[in-house]
Amino acid sequence: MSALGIYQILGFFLVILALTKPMGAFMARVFAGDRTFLHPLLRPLERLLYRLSGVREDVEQHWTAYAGAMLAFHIVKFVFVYGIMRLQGWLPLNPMGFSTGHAPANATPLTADLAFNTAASFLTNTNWQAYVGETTMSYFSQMAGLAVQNFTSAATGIAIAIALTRGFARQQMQTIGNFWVDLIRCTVYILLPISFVAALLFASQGVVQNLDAYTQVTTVEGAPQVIAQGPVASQEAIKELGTNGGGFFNANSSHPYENPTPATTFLQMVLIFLIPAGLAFTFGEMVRDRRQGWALFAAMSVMFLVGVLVAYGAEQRGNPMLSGLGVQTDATVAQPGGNMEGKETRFGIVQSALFATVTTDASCGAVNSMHDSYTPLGGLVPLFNIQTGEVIFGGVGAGLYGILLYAILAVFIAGLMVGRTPEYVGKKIEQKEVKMAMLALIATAFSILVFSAISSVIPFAKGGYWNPPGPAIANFNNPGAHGFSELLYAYTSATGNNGSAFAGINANTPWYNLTLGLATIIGRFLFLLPLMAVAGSLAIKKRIPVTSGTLPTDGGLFVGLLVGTVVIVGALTFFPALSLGPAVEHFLMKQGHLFSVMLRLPQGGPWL
Amino acid sequence: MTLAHFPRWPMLLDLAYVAVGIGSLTACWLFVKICDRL
Repeated sequence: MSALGIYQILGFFLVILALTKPMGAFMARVFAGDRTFLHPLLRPLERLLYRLSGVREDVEQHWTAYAGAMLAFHIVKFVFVYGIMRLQGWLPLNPMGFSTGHAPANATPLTADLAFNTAASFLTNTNWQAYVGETTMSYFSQMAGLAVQNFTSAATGIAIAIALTRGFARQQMQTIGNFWVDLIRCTVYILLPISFVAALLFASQGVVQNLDAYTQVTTVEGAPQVIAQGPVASQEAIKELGTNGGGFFNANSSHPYENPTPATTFLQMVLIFLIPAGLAFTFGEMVRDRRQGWALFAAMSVMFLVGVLVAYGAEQRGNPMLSGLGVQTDATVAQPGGNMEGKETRFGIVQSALFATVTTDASCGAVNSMHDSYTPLGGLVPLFNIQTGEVIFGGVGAGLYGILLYAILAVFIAGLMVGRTPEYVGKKIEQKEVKMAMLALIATAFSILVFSAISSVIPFAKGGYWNPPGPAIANFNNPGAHGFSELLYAYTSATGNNGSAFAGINANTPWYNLTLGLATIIGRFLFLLPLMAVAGSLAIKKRIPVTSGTLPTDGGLFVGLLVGTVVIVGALTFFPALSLGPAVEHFLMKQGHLFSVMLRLPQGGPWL
Repeated sequence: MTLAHFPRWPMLLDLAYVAVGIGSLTACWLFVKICDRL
């Protein structure tokens, strides 16, 4: 690791630290319905939306009504985006003619299973993409279908986090807010204005924004090349801000039209953490104890910094087998050294490792390098980040309600140790809260492990409907432990609503589209619904005064306990699976065994 | 292309996948009820 690399990481962290309080305080005012500097401009739009939708902003909902409204909204969204994708051949803004008879020869058919997977994925803020954006989606599908989901799924996550926070902040109340009001306020005052400004900044740096047909050019070598175009800057902004992560292009943020410069990389990473970090402060502000919010921020920061330093260190050390062959893998003024496979030279190792850590700490899933090409330990960090439930700042809203789940478990464990009823932020944590927290954890772990296990062994006939390549494991590019990592990462990413891919696996078959789509739905709703039940349960309870027997939850001891709970629960749940994937791969690499892509020479030659 | 060109088999598949989507989201409502009871 170089000093310059460490400075870049610390510089990024300091920017996030500086933005946390203003962003968090602003969001607290928005959700309390207080006046902000944007109200003169945007309050008329908010009122218009209430009038058009028939929502009364002064009427609040019980948690079940809040959850029901959220689920009903998602059913409508699912049908809407599915319909747009399947009918894109008849809809406007389709200059390349996707899903028509005039589609380019290399276009990916937008089949029913792919549309299901994509609809479920974008609905749940996952943005797992089993398709290649520039050869599959029309501009209309991208803008009216997917980008709308980016806004609404992000707003939903934030709304749930705010509802849970109200559960802690209120006492003796049956209601936790109004889903429609939270959704509208979040979209109007937070997501739209920041996305607008960020899109302009991206466009100023060279991110394209047009509705043109793709450009045909001839390269300097005389070869024909098609350069994809599109309304990228406007999608890029919400892709990062909403921790959605679905790239306009297949190469995502490593594509020069999505992420042209180190400056745009930095801005993208800041956008990913901006709301999740701010929400920790919002929590403290709403429960009227800012130290509680900063304690959550501190726990997230510790885990973030450890993760990024491990990933950066592993990638900078590179592959010992290459250095053993005499390849120069040290950083010099002329080259970055380390493991540069799958990384862009304009970002280098530190911005790639930092981006990989940020995008998997948050449930974003945008990538500026290929995680499949990371060293085993470098690749383990993103995988483990997702498996912890993405609570290290986390997805917008999802990070806060996820870390609050672990806070409930942490005080419960501490309560067991000292034999007292656990308390958190003045609320007694009792049977109901702990049952709900465990339900959320078990549901997501079940989805990851069971789907991975089934896909490891399930046989399919070659050329059949469900998985034309044959058995589900026939879709891997790599054999052995690395292939298993690809599979485990896919279901982890889908269930964790992350959406990044280890790559190396062809997931666009009906089996993977169906199961990964279901995994996104399980990971989203079976995780957040129990926490909404916690919100409802806590809102009814009285706040109890702090006594000498209360475990302080705003100090270093609790931060350590919280970090320990996250790591231990993650390790206990997933260690066996991780040991079969990246862990065993690391030790095999040390012994000189690699899992490279298998290529066979023509005429039945040997495997390479 | 017109709707007449839309093959029947994919339309059945569409119905099946939409049913899976709506069904799984509706099942989440049952999960809400379970959480409320627990």
